[in-house]
Amino acid sequence: MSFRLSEIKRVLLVARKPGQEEFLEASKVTGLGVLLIGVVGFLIMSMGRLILGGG
Amino acid sequence: MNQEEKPRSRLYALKPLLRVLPEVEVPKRHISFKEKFLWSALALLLFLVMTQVPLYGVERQTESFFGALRYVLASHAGSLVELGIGPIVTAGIIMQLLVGAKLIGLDLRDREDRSLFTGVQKLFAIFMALFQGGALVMGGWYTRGGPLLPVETRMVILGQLVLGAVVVMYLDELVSKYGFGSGIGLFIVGGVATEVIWQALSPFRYGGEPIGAVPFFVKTLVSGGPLSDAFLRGGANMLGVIATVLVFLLAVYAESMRVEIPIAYGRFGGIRGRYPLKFMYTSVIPVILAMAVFANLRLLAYFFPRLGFLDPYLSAPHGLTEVAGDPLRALIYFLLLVSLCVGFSILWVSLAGMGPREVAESLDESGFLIPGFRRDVRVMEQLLSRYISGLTVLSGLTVGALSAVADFLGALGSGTGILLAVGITYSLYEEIARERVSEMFPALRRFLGE
Repeated sequence: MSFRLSEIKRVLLVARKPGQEEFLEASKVTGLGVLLIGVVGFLIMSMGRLILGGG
Repeated sequence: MNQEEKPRSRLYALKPLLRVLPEVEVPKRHISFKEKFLWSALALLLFLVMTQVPLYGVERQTESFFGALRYVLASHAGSLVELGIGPIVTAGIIMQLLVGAKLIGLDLRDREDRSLFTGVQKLFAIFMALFQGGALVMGGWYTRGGPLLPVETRMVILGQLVLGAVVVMYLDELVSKYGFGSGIGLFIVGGVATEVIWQALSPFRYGGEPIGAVPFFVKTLVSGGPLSDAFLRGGANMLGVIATVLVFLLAVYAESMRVEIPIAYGRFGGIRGRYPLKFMYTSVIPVILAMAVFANLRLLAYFFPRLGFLDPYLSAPHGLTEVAGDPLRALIYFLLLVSLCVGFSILWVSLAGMGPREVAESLDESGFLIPGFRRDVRVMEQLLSRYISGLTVLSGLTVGALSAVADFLGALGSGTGILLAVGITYSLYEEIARERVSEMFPALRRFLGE
């Protein structure tokens, strides 16, 4: 592999921003995934806190 | 290929030891979507429960040795998983580097060598857990400033830390073979997501005030206290909530950017099109590796105080006030992280088989070709390498810069944490989407290379 500035420029030329719909879809899916896992973790953490008592 | 008998690696001497090390068997059949989901969920649940199991023999810990690095390491202070994924990732990096530098004579394309490699890597991870746990326990972390615990107690604590790391290692292997993505990724998301929700919404109190930024905000509204408190107090505040949303959107945007390579499909290249590669080509992996390096340096600095001068540059200033307070530190941290990320991005592309040749081969097998050329892997490789090398550097550069800037903004669960959670969840989503398609249309499975 070679690493020159021109290579980076070439990549930037063919880079494409996400469309609005694509961006919304990705935000929704990732957001929901993270929230879902976060809520499960939150419940487990709350239980830990209730059982062990918290400072 | 050379026909000479290749000398067997000296690591084969470890073979008897590796035989007693259990291994999660490679599945011999196709694992259904539902089953993958169940295994992943089970591993994550177990991990999350372990974050709540306190170490026996130490007093309740409120401060993490790893500071903000804990989010990336999936480490939880004072629990069985205090070391998080640190030992596995560290062992992985060092082993890969040793193979890459040809310091151990293993050929990862050879099946027997590869199985030895994974075995040794596991053994090495246990060794790393001993080292990392040892640095904490022997360095006196659990009784900061106070008298050291008796040796037996310290051994018991170390035993628990190593045990926790071993369980995490097997859960990771389980998810890698029977679930979605990797356990490492899943555990990072689990830790970060939990922390974000906890810091945003927790109604529990600390020092008489709600921990969560939102409950505290509501309380301030109701009691008519100064609103600036809700936005600026130490601990989780509304500014952090705003930063979290901002970093989240930024990360999703970067993850969904593509680089489109002009290419054709079908006999004689009848159908012209573009083949999209992710702009974040190596995704968040360089950051995970860089942070693992930081964590180990921090442990070394703890053990050898002479290295203490490194400490300020091994974690990001949290929030804009800290950046403004010491801009030079922020700048050095930024440069250090970005260069490490570029290095790891380059390394990862060659390790994970994402280089021009591998991509060219898989595209060629699926019938893609370059418009105006005969179908030829070498032509394809040449075209791809013009893009992939630049992309690799740019991807590492971007993810490093994003990570540093995200931390400077002071998001809940740390900016880097959010960046990782988004990157990992996004990859999971892509994998699950592919899986769904191949499950609905079994004929596609071959096409997708399963």
